[in-house]
Formats: sequence, structure tokens, C-alpha cells
Amino acid sequence: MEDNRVVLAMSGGVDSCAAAILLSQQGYKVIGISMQVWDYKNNGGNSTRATCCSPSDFDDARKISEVYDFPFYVFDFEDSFREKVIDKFVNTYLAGKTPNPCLDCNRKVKFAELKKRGIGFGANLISTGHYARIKQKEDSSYGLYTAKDLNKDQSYFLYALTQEDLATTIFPVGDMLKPEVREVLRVNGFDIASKAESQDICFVSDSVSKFIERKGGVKTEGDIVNSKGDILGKHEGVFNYTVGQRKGLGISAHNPLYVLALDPSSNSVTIGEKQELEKKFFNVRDITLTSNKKIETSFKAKVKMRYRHDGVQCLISPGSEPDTAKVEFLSDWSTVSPGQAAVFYKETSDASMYEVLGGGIIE
Amino acid sequence: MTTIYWDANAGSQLREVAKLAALDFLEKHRVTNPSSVHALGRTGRSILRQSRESVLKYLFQGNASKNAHLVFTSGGTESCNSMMLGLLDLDQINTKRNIVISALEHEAVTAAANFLKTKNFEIRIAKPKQGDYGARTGILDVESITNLVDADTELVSLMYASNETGAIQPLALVAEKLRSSGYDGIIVSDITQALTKSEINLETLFKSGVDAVAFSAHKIGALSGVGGLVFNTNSTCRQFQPLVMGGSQEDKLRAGTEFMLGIYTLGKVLETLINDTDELHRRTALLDYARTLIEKNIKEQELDINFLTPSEAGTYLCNTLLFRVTGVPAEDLLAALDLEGIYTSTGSACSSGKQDSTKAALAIGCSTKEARECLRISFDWDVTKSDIDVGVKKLSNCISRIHSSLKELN
Repeated sequence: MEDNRVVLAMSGGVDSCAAAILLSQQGYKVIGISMQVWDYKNNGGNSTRATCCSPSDFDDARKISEVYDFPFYVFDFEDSFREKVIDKFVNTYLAGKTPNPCLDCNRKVKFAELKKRGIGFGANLISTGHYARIKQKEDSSYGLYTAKDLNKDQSYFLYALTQEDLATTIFPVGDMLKPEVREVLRVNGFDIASKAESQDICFVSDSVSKFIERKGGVKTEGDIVNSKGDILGKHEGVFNYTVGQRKGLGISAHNPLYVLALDPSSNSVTIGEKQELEKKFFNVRDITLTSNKKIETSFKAKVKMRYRHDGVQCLISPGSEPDTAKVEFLSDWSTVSPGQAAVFYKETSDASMYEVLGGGIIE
Repeated sequence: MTTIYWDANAGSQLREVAKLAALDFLEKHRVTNPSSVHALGRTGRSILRQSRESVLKYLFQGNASKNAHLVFTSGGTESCNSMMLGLLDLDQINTKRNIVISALEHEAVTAAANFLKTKNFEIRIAKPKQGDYGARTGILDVESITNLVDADTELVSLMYASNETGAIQPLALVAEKLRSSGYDGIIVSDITQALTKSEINLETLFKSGVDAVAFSAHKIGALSGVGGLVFNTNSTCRQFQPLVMGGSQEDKLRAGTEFMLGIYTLGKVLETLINDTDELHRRTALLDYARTLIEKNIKEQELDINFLTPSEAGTYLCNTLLFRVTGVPAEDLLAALDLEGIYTSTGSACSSGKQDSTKAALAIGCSTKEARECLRISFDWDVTKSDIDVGVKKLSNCISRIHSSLKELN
């Protein structure tokens, strides 16, 4: 093992390219890898949008590797991505829940494959262009924190990192604002600093329901009902809807109506008013904590229930099963989407920085 | 870091004799357009003639070449394209006609075959023996080709040796059998990997009925940018239609001023190797040694290793080993070896830079997963026993690391 070898995931986007430059300038021996996880020509949809798997992005990554003279490889992770992300994405939708494929991709593909390459290539460290921070605490354990740039913060996707991961991972852009990251590329002579951001779900180029249909999902017309079971209208297939959705229901009412529940077994979509959707508490499974510990007593934390969610104060109590918890809203009731992650954040002495304690999947 | 070059089939390192020849050439000649009438043109023509003679003499194993015409081209791809397309009548309207190629051909041949599809040719592909390892060596049965040939077949293309497995094909036997059964179409062969790595003899090939062969200079340690196309002038094949049009260079068979510097190095390399069987024997012995050593090392780790390169004497090139370690992805192994300064190959890199699996492995009957575990080592002319000892040790370490990473994290 060589102490300063670091395997860096390079999508070819602004953040990972800047990360490569920063690591090189800090004296690390960078090994850049790009992950080909998706190929539009084999999967339908168009590839003109900014995504992280286009050959031109890999060209940008390769160009950085040539200028900074470090090895760069493209790996084919299509099988792993299909199995661990796409199949689950489709199946979760078909089961009437709202999956978060970015969570699975980060955890089961990106970090898992990076860790493998670290060992295989004799590198002690791995790195990505994620916006998040890792700091060693006074007791020498490691903590995961929100990014300096709160608009770009991606700590939500990283809650499952363990102490071992945190000790061997570097997030070079976590302590920078996005304009500063673009500036790294600009001052070093790269024109990719102005390229578009990749957003949303990278493999869905049109709409989720069209994607699910291409992957074999069959739209079956069914009833739209209220919580009493009265039929209010017809829907075109359960996987066209997500819990909490308001627009596009096609039913007029005095007050705004929301999707309350999806039931693939009876092929029904239940709708109702906002207060019917809101809950006092919800349950979370598959919990991991960044400290590697288990939840033994109740504690208060700010909980984010979606990536773009400000977070609300909750009381988290150990559940009856291992690695589960009950999360109770401390003030207003709120809506939750089963299948998304609930991530627990703790305040720090720096008012603009929170520590990620861990998280799990909303039941 | 000391580096070890084990990717000669992608491109050989420049040989000392080629380097010296190139320097000498540049020192002596400021212009050598062999088409010029004046004295400098005569010098150029003389260099061209000598180089042509050296190449042909090598290909005929030191004997005077008979019925052979060598045309210099820009490289193996142009030579292969030319032999595939230049001998056929592309304008004929006959929807029944076909060509037969092997499943192991290089893209320079398969791309030309795909073009022929647009000219109404049916493409028939001969596959190598399938089955268990041991049988999976990429050698084609003579019948696998001859059975595909019928009265509407106009061209048969079979590479002399596989760039991926190193398997030498029974080209002369195929040609003999086809000719004796009355086939009067064209037979061509991509002999790119065979030069300096096997005992190829063009006299035997031409006698058996082969019409044209194609090769490249940079696979044998001369400069890149030069290739050759050798026609059997005695064969019944129609007039060759050049792909590159313009002046009357190369006997009007390939327009464009010759790349004299490259041609000179090609001639010099093959001149020194005429009747030199020592290098071939030395390289073959080292290949056999490496094969045994790799097998022993991998088995000591209690991992499965399978060679897709044939082991029977005379059926494999002196430098190529394609093998598969079960459970160890070759793209990882290639990268890990690269980081250790050892340069190897998997298949060909696609446009995104992602490594493709070896085509040969798939053609032999490997599954996609198995094919992705195939690594190719191709030793160069300067291979030594100590390099093999060092390299195999590093190979073994890399395999061990990758295997443990998969065990730990899957």
C-alpha cells in the first residue's frame, strides 16, 4: 500500500474534475476512474441532457488526467448499476413507493466499487467530488458534516458511511462554495467550468412513468378513491403517481387534493386533503449511524426526509426491531414519502454546519 | 519505476535496427520522392526496391519470391480494407453472392465485410471450436470454413494468427481444400500478427491457393504508418481496384507518395530477421516458461486459471497468452498492473475508453462474464526471463489483491 495513493471517482463534471486538480496539487497520487453505469443507446430515451455517463464527460476527465499526469480508467459498471439501482427503482415504483436511486447508486455502486478499486490498486484512500465534509474529532473518531455550500450539500446521500469509510475518504470540494470550485477549473485553464449541472435522476431522460413502461411496467387503468373508499375517478396506472403528489390528478374539488396512498394490489390510488396526508410520526428501517453505534436511547435531531428538504426537529426513539427507529415530529405534523431516506442531523458549534449522525429508509 | 512492456500485439517497441536505420536515413536524405525523374528520385526508387526485396525475401523464408507483388500502404488497416474490397467487383448486381470470414477477424476486416453488406453480399461467419477449456483455443476447423463456401462465395478471409489468443489458423489447409474442391473465388488473409512471431512462409500459402495477404510494420518493431499488401500474381483473381486514387505510385496499385522513412525501417527489420530462427525459438521458449510460471502462481493461490491460447507446438504465436482467472475482472487487473508499470491488454477500448471484452473469447464460447475476465499478455522482441520472473510475481500480487477486494466487499 502506498499512503498517498487515492482512487478518485471522476464523472467528468465540474466537481470531480476540480477534485482531481486539488488532490494533484496537494501531492496525492491520484488514480482517476470513471464509471460507465448507463448507456442511453441501449436503454432508450435521449442522451442530449447533461448526465454523468456521456463520452464527452469522460473526455473531460481524461483531459484532466493527461494534464496532471495521473492514470485514468473507465470501468463498465452497467451490470452492477442495473442490478442494484435500476431494478430496485422499477420494482419500488411498481410496489407503490417512491425510491431514491441516488442513495442506492452512491452506497451500493459508487462507494462500493471505489472501495474495491482502492484495495485492488493498493491505495489507502478514496475520493469523490461530493459536497460534504469529514473531520476528525477530539476523541479521534471521524464525523461527517454538511458542506460549506449549503445549496450544494450532498451529505444526505452519504449518511450510510461508516467510521472506516470516513477515515479513508476525502471530499476535496466539501469545504468550498460552488463558484470557488468552478474557479479552480478556470484558473487552471479548463473551459469545462461553465458546463451544465447534471440534475434529477441521471438515467431518466423523459419521465419516470415512460421509463418504467420501457422497463416492462404495464399501465393498468384503475380507480381513484378517497379514504372512505368512494370512487372519485380513474387513473392510468399506479406508477404514474407518488405519495404527496398534488398536480395532475384530474379531479376538481374545493380544497387541493393530494395522493395519500398507492395500492398496487387493488390497483387503486387514494387521494384526500392535506391534513389526511400529514403524520405525527413515521418508522425508519435499515438504520446506520456514522459513529458505527446503535440507537439505544431517544434523542432529538433535525431530520431531512428528502434531498431538498430543510429538515425538521424530531424525537428519534429505538424501534422494536434491530436497526429501526420511530421518528416523531416535535412541532407540526408533516408528510413523508415511504422509500426515501430519513437522515439525522445534529447542530455543531458552527451554526452553518451540521453533523450527519446517520439515517435509514422511511417505511 | 521500471516498466515491462507486455502489449506487443497492440504495437511493438521500435527495434534498435529500425531506430538506427531511421536516424541514418534522416541523416542522409533530405528528399526521396521515388517518382522524381532526377538523381534523388533514383535514390528513392533504389531504397524502395531494396526494401521491397527484403520484405518479400523474409516472407518467402529467404528464397526468391515467385509470383508475388508487394504494395506498400499506410498500415494494416488500409491493407486489410484493400484486400477485402479491391479484388471484388462491387458494382455487379447479384443478390445471391456471399463472403466467408472467421469470427476472429480484426475490425479492419470486419468493418470492410460490413461495408460489403451494403453491396448485397451476405456475410457468413466461421466460428472456432466451442466446448470445454482445452478445446477453447480459437483454432478453426478446416470444415467450419469450407462448409460455408458455395458456388456464390466470392471471397474467403481468414487471419493467419489471432491477435488476441495467438492461435495459428490452418490457412494453407483451408486454401488447399477449397481449391481442390474447385473454388475459384478469392482467398485473402490478414497476416499482421504472424510476422516475426511464427514461421510464416508465403510460398506455401500462395501454392495452397491464397491470393493476397495484408500486414503492418509497427507490429514487428518498425515505424508505424506503413503496411504491406502482397498479391499472388499467379492467381486467378481479377484486377485489383485501388482504394487510394491519385498518382501512379506502387505500380498504379496505391496512389500517394510512399512513406520512405517507414518503409526503410520495415525493410531493415525484416532483412535482419531473414533466416533468423533464433529469436523465434528464444521467444517461444520464454512464452512456454511464462505460461507454466503463471499457471503455477495462480494455482498456488487456489484460484482457477484457464488459458485460451493453444498449447500444441506450431499452433500458437511465440509471444501471446490469453488467460482467464475466475472471479478476477480483467479491466481491474489491467489497471492494477498498469499502476505497477506492467502494460497488458484486455480487448479493444471503445469510444468512451471503457475496455471491451476480447472478441476472441466471446467467439470461442465464453460468456460475457468469462470474457471480461480474459487478460492478454503479448511479449515483445526484447522479452527476458528476469522480466517474466518480476512481472509474473507482480501479476500474482495484483490478482491476489483484487480477489481479496471482491471477497471482502461483495
